[in-house]
Amino acid sequence: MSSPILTVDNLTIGFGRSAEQAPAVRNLSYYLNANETLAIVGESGSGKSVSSMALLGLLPQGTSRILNGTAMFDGRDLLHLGEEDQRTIRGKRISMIFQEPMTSLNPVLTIGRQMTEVVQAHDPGAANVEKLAVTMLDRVRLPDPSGMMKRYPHQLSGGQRQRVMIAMALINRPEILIADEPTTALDVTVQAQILELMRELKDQFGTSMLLITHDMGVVAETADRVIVMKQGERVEEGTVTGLFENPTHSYTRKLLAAVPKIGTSDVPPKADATAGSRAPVVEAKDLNKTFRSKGHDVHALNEVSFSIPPGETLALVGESGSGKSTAARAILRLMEVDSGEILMDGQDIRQFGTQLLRKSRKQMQMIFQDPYGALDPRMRVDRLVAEPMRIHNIASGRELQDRTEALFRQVGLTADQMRRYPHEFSGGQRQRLCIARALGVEPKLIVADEPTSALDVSIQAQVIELMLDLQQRLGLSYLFISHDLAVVEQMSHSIAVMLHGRIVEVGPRDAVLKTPAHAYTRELLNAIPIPDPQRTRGKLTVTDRSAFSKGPLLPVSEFHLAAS
Amino acid sequence: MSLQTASVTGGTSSETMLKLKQFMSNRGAVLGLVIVMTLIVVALFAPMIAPYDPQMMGAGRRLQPPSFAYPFGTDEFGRDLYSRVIYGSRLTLLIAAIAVGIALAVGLTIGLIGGYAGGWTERVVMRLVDVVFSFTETLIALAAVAILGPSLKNAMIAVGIATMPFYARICYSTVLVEKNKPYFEATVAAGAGHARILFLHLLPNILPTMVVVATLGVSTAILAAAGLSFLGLGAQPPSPEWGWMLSAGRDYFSRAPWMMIVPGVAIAITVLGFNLLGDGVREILDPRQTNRR
Repeated sequence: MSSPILTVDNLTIGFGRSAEQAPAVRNLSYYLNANETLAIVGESGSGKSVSSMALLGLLPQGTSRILNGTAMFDGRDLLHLGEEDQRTIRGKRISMIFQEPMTSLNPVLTIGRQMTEVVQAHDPGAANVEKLAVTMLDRVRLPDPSGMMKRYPHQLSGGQRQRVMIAMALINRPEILIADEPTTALDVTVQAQILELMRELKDQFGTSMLLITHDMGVVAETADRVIVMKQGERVEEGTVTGLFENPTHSYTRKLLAAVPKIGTSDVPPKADATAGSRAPVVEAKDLNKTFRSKGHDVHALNEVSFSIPPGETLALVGESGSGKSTAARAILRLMEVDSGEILMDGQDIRQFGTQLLRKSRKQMQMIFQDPYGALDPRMRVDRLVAEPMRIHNIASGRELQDRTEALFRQVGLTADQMRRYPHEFSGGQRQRLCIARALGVEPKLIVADEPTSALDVSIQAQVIELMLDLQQRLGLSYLFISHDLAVVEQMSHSIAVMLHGRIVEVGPRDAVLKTPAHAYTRELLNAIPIPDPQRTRGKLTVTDRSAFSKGPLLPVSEFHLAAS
Repeated sequence: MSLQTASVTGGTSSETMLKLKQFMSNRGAVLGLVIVMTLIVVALFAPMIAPYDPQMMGAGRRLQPPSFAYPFGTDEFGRDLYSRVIYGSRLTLLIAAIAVGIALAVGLTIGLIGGYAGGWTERVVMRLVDVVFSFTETLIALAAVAILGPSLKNAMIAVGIATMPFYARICYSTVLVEKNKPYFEATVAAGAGHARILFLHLLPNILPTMVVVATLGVSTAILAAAGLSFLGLGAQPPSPEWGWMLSAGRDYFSRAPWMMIVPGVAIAITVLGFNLLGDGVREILDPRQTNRR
């Protein structure tokens, strides 16, 4: 190892009026060697993003202040550079990739224009910029790079946009690349490809990388060294193997323990032994839904059938756009399907009129992905939790109040929090509120659409535990929608894998995860980052989605079906 | 995110204090508030402040320039302009309240129904609003007065009708935004009926926006009403309405310019006051202004 190219010393950053008393980042020191990947790991609010934004002078103006510290890069202190000097470094010698590939490209400019702009901003007279841009697009393995130059961001998929972002970040051959949650918004298979690409390019270009992430799997696969941050402070630092094998700080241990690992949860969630023989809570038969947009039809649901026995969990997994959320909304009739039957107690709820439908919603409740948005910001939380009970006339007055209080306790909240508004709660607490709200009407089925993907891992673990516990005690059924197979493994009794609006494999949890019969399921499983630096997965193969078999489901073994 | 967790302990009252502080640090908003408060005080205590009866002819000699006895001069009948302007503030505030009230009530209802119902209802209702919107406010107001007949009361109604599309459109687009938020779907999924969704969820969420729109709309309403009175279609003589006073002063402009300057300046200051106040209110009610971190 050579001498560090970046040395950060005692970096302290504060926000607003409480900047000095409670800084968001406190005395953070680290170094980054040439051609090294340093991962900064932490949960939301740990200061991991803020500390790296400060290096490029990208902190929000006015509200934030750098209170102390230096960041030495090539003999200069990055934290105390003028705007002019900063610009000569930004994008040229240090560049950045952001989390949201959907919005970090300018929608009204072509890819080519945005690529060449990055070069010309630093060297207006640069020759052969177009050619360089095409070469870079080729290096990040985008198909038809010269054609890509003329396209606009909306014509590209999320993974393709992130590739463009990487090409843009590397086009000036920066010495340091800061990647802020570069794969969080992407599907697992796309994430795996992007991570592989970033590793390769780092070696080819000799770039050092500062990787900011919350995902221990990504860390294990990509980083050389790791810094763990908690509430603005570094709690642990070490090599990636050392940290995973011997975490010294209790917080690191807690963080590692909370990471769901696929293949580690051997005991399936307990289920009623008679569950299989009893009538299903809900049964979907041959659901079809087509969205028409700009001349071509998108089959969001294509002959989708499944059933959920009482007290059990069916997980719908798949990548974005696979139709899993559409299926969830269809079951609740938040969206009408074109054809098919949704049977509850033998009745097709698609035939229900407004009154019957509203009554049937007492049987099925929903938990949403975004606990920040799912609660009306202007309603007090006790009234929010009581609302479904009030709607379905389950209780009123004193009784309603008591039941609401009981629900608060049931989900691990306290009665003195009842008179607050949603914004006064953290993400995990809000998801608990959503669960309490759903439980009030004693539903048979709860549809949970990615209920934990907006939460930190430790909070995610708590919410999953709560959901499992409630299932045990109340005999609930869940329709659990997720893209995260490790979470699915913990939660579900059976799994249905969706691709392009079809179920391509369905069966008991262990059968699907341990002996996957469909090639797409195997690919999904293979793409999951493994939170263990010692275990490396084989070479990743990614097949064109349309090449997968999507024929009728045929039995592989008892209850286990896969598309032929 | 960091603010949201930080405010867990802070509670609502400290947030109110924060917003109040933010409002007070906006000099324009404070000036607007002072102007509007002064106007309200003047209107309430007009009989005590005004030295003369605003209708009393020959309170002084005709067309007197401003002097110690008649601070703003007198008009062609010798009425004290100072007293008339003071009493006129009552009419101005009344016009503002009623015209904006009508516009807000009708616009809010139309926007709420159009945005919530969707489909054919939305298309029909909102296209009708568009038709009204496509004419200038004054033209609609003139048409309304032509049907209802000229009087101060009818001018208020006319201004209300003319400015209504503006409120309806903003309400409609706010409803569309709220409808796309997850809590809306969550409420539907919980089994809530139309009334609950409309009045307990949508209305509280769009009301802050509408309050801001109304505050800014006050100045438009005052100007429109003054315009109608100036054209002789609103307040009738001998009412001390500012727009009418402006109109009456037109014939004497070369001899007694104060007859136009005084009500003109009064209208300008009032409109300025409400505009500044409206901007200030918008700033503190816009969550992005405080939650930005």
